[in-house]
Formats: sequence, structure tokens, C-alpha cells
Amino acid sequence: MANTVIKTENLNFQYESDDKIKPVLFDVSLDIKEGSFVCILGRNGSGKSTLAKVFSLVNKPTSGTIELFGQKIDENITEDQAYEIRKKIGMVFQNPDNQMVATIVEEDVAFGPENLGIEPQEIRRRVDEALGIVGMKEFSRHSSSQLSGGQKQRVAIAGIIAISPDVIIFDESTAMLDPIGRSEVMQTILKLAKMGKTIILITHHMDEAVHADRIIVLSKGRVASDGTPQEIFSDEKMLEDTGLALPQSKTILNMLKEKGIEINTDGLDPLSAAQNISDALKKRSRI
Amino acid sequence: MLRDITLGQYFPLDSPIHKIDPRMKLITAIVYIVAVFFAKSAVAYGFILLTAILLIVFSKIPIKTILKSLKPLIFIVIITGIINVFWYQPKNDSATLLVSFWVIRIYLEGIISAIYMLTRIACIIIGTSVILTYTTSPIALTDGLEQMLAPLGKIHLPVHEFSMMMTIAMRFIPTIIEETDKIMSAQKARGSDFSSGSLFKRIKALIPILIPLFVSSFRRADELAIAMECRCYRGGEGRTKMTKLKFRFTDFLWFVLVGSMIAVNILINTYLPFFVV
Repeated sequence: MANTVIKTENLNFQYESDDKIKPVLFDVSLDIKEGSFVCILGRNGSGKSTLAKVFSLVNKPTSGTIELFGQKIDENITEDQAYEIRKKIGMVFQNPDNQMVATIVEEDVAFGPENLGIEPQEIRRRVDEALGIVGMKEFSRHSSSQLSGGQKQRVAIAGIIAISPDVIIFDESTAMLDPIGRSEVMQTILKLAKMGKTIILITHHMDEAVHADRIIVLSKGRVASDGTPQEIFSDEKMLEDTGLALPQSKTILNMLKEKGIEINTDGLDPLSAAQNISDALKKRSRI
Repeated sequence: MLRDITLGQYFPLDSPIHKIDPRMKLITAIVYIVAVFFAKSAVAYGFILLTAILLIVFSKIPIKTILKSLKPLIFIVIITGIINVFWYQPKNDSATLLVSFWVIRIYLEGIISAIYMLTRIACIIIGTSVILTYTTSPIALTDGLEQMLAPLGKIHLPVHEFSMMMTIAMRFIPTIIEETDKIMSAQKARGSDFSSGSLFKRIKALIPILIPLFVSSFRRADELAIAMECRCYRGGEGRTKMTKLKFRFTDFLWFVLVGSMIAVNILINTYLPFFVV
């Protein structure tokens, strides 16, 4: 049985400014197991990025409990304890430009391990390894302004890998990228999931969510649904209530079925959808 | 238009000068300037000009770039040249008068001293830009500065913070330039006009660029701070560096080489004192 890395119970969070209080999360109770690939799905303003910031210790919960790696996070947590947890939870943000510290790619990737106080040779090894994983090794001496959005975001991911955290949170990391950049980053995320890292992918793209083992749907700050992609995308009422669309592949299959074609509508990603369509075609030609 | 600004102007080439430790470069850049001021005789000026040329050759920096970097100084050079020629006051009677017309008196020594002045300015610019800006990456430079100033950290001066600020500032120069470009295009698309009207009007037209630029810079700073914290940053304490700066034998050789320029100039001034003014 895998360990629970993140556990929340009745977690509430509100942003407080001088004159107004804006509640964002209500009664969120979740647990995320080590090595799993979880997607947090929701529309804009559903509170998913806020939840990610609670996980990465940027936001402290207003009420309720959160445990990270068995460590309870509350008012009394010391700076050192927070630092130990930050080593284990990495976060990749939306805008690649705003998370790079140094001009040269490899120097930026080295920023994290340098903060940990690791020996120079070990930093060198980690930087090379991280750049290898994201496929940016040949750009190691390039300046960040010469890179495309997708490349910058992969460098940002390498910067997190070099810290070697157990959990990596992607907070809408593909939202600002073009389709090519998005698929490059998605490939990298899938690669990391295969390597056994716990991945928390925050997105509003259904086509990215289908890759996860488990989807948590957030709506207006509450957990609306929690289950495997198959379960989530079969529950059409819930999807309608939360304002989510189906993945493109599933939409096409549903449309074909509506036209009276006998077809299995369970395919969520393009490959299985294509398989279903070809099966349906075969069945048809036999008749 | 804004993209043409190249700050730092680092040329990532592979030359012996590129390989020198940034700390040594900072020191030798100063030594070089001092050495240039030691030149007095014509031979010494010839010698420093030769060293400037040698620097260019060894750094492999294209000569065109160097000349381009000297271009904005032409105006200053002409003015100082004229001042030197016309306002030269002979120190003794041996000065050779070339032209005497109304109140204008031009001495041979005045012309020579103007030429010396020009050589000196050119050498200082070539020397410092070749030793420092063209051949040292901005990060290497801030790293070098940080380590050189490290002793000041003992009296609680924020040396690490200072060099981190420099690093981040340099990192964001291209980003902010790009952003300015975008905002300018956006404001142009809304019909604002930056290139006509009186000077006051043009300055006023810049306000709709500066305000969004400031707002977005603050937002960037906020996001960067969170990202840095998530990457375990907690100040300079306990931090290590991927590339540790280490002095090598060639660095000392380089120092001796530049330092000996002072000695050579003194020797030339003493034994070959031609046209000392």
C-alpha cells in the first residue's frame, strides 16, 4: 500500500484583504497517494490553483487540516520544517518567464540544488540529468530569451527535477503555450509519471486530464467528483453541472453514436477513439 | 526597434581571454586603466595602442563590433580634441608655435596632446570592453563580484542579496524589453501616437506604456518570489555554487602580463622620452 503524501480534511481557505474576505475553498477532503498521477480539473475560478498553493505551502489553510508527508501544517510550523517539505514538493507555474532566475539555462536549473547546499559535482550531475530528462541538454548554454515557450517551460520543469522532489505540482503549466509547446510539456509530464514521481496536474484541458489515473473535479471551491477518467467522463450530469466539456475524442464518439452508428464510446484519448472507430467500421463492412 | 538594444553585449566565443577568472578580469581591467594613464612618451602611447590591438586579436571579437562601440564616442572625442588643440597653454618657451591668428594660437604640443588624449580614451574603452563586457557572461561577472565582495558580508553588508538582484535584473532585461514592445504595439493599435507632436506631448504619450509595464513588473516580481521560495531559496546562507571559481596558473600569468604594462610604460617614459607633453 502506497503512502499518503498529501491529506486534507475539511480544508477551507479564504483570501483576506483589508476590506473584504473572499472564500475560495470549502470543505476539501482528499488524500493523494505516493506515485499516483492525479489531475485536478475545474473551470476558471474553481479554486484549483489556490488548492495547489495550499499544497506547496504558499497559502496556509484558514481552517481544517492539511498533512504533507505526515507533517501537519498549521500556524506552529517552523521555517525549517517548511523548508524540508518544500524539498519534497516541487511546483511548476503557469508563466515560464516568471519562474526562471538566471539567464543561462543550466545556471537556472542549478538554482534549486544550489539552494540545498549540495556539493558542486553533485549539482553538475543533477543539472545534466534533469536537462536530459526534459530533452533540453543541447540548449544548456543558451540564454532563456532565445527559447520558445515550450522549451522555457521544460527548463522550468528541469529546475524542479534537479531538486528531486517526490511530488511535482503542475499549476496550469501548459495554459500559456502554443499547441506544440503544450504537447512537449505534456510528454515530459507523462515521462515523469512513468518514472514514479507523484504528479498533480492542474488544468482545464480535458484532453490533458485523460492521461491521469485519477481526476478530482473542483467546482466553486468544492470537490464535485473524484474518480478515474472513465468514471468522470461518463457522468454527464456532473460534467454539465460543473461546466466542463468532454475530451474531444469522446465528443466525436458520442456524436457518431447519436447519428445511429453502433460504436463503443469509452475512448478518451485519440488512440483508443481511433481504435473504436475502426472497430465500428469493420463491423459495418461485415454487414 | 527596442530589440536592437543589446545590453551586456557578451560574445560567447572560445578565446584565452574568455577563460580567465572573472575576478581576475575585474582586477586587471582596473590595472589596465591605470597602466594607460602611465603612458607619457610617444613610444609609450604606441605601446598601449599595440596592447589594445593585441587584446582585440586574442579575444577573437570582430573588429567591426569594437569600432561600432567606439562610434557613440566620436562626438566626445572631437570636442575634447578641439579643446586640447586650441586651449593648450605652453608650459615653457620651447613650445613650437604653428599658427598664430588673432587670439588663436595652435602649438605643435597642443596637437600632440590631443592625439594622446584620443589614444588614451580609445584604449580605455577597448581595454575594459574586451577584458570585461565582451568576454565575460553576466552571471560570471556577478559571481565574481559576489566572491570578491564576500569579506564585506562579515560586516553584515548584503553581498549575496546584491549579486542576486543583479542576476535577476539581467535575466529580466530581455523579458521587459519584449513586454514594452508588446504594450507599445497594443497602444498603437488603440490609436496612440508616439512619434509626433511636441517633446512634452511625446513624453506624455509614454505614460500609457509605463503604467502597464510597472504593474506587470510588480506581478512578475511577486510570482518570481513565490517560485523562488518553492525552489527552496532562503537567502545566501548555506548556499553552494555549481561552478566554483578557482584561480588557475594562467590567471596569474594574465595578471602579471597586464601589470607589467605599467613597468614597461615607466621604462619607456624614462629611456625613450619622445614628445612628452
